[in-house]
Amino acid sequence: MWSCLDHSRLIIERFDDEYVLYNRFSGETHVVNRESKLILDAISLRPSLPEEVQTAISSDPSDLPDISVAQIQEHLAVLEQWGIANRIG
Amino acid sequence: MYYFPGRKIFFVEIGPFIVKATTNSGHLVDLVERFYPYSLSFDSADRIADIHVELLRIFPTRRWQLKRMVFLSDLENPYSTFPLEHNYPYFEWGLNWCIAMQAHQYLMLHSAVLEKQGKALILPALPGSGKSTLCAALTLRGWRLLSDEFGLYRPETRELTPMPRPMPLKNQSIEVIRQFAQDVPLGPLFRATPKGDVCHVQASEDSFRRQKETARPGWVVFPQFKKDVTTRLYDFAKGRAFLKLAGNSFNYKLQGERGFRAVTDLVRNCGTYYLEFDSLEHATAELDGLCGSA
Repeated sequence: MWSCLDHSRLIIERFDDEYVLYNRFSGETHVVNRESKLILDAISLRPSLPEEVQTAISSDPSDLPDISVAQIQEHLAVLEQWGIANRIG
Repeated sequence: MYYFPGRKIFFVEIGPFIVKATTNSGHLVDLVERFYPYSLSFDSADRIADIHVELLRIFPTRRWQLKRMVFLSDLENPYSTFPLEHNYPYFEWGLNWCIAMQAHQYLMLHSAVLEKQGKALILPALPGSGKSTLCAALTLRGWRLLSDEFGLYRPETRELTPMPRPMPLKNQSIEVIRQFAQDVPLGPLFRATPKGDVCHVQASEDSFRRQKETARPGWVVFPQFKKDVTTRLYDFAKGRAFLKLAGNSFNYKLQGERGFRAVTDLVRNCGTYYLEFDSLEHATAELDGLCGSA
């Protein structure tokens, strides 16, 4: 199960297809693409398994190509490394 | 440590800062007079300095102290002693150090900043990218120099503050700029400094006269000199430009959320580009074109 850093600690600015994330707690800044942002949105709504994230993304009306569970796990691992997503339970 | 007697005090107004310098080197005073003819003063009346520096020749009590100087700011000593003949480069580097350590009212970018038609061009770059040489070339093509080294951005006013100073060129760049413009106002050559051979290009009178005139940011261009490439200016994705610009700042992390907001503003409101260039002629033409198309 994955969850996301409390949104009061995270600022997100969109620049075209890229999103800049600012972690108020650590002061670190990162850039993510749309896939990562959708994953972040999914786990910020409620703690989710990668499969649940996949379902949430596939129901998104955007034209994002299908994303596999393995790809979602890769994105989550990066977000975890940055201290933005974390494993719970 | 003991110092030679005969100290002289002078004040230099550099953009928003007043620098008070004390030295016992007449040679240094001559050079500062040459490079800051419009903003140097020996009159201390009503002057409260923002930055205090001392460049003092050491009175030798040891053999290694022969013909050496020391740079001090508020009794801090960021450099080891240096040869007498490198006094002017150390004066400039020392000022950079003082500003980078103190001027946190600004988001400080490691960049050249120039202005044309009321809009500022920010050239953030790492050492060795050709930033200073390109900056000097642009001033010779009519751009106003705000700074060769510091982009001083005030988030509250969304403006860049000028700080015109001589532009230091290193090693091969000195000959490159001579070939670009034969009448380039170059100062003396300082050989074998820690950064190699150094020679300064004098900032224009116009830059000094207008040093209180701020400018709105218009473009952020990341320059990179490369041999044998076709000069090319192309759009740089804003998310990547954000990271590069923030990483280039002296105090982005220290500024916290204010810094993040400031970089967001800059990236949102400026065109962001990457410039690969192999010649100053081509690079200045590309950047002039950018200005003309705005």
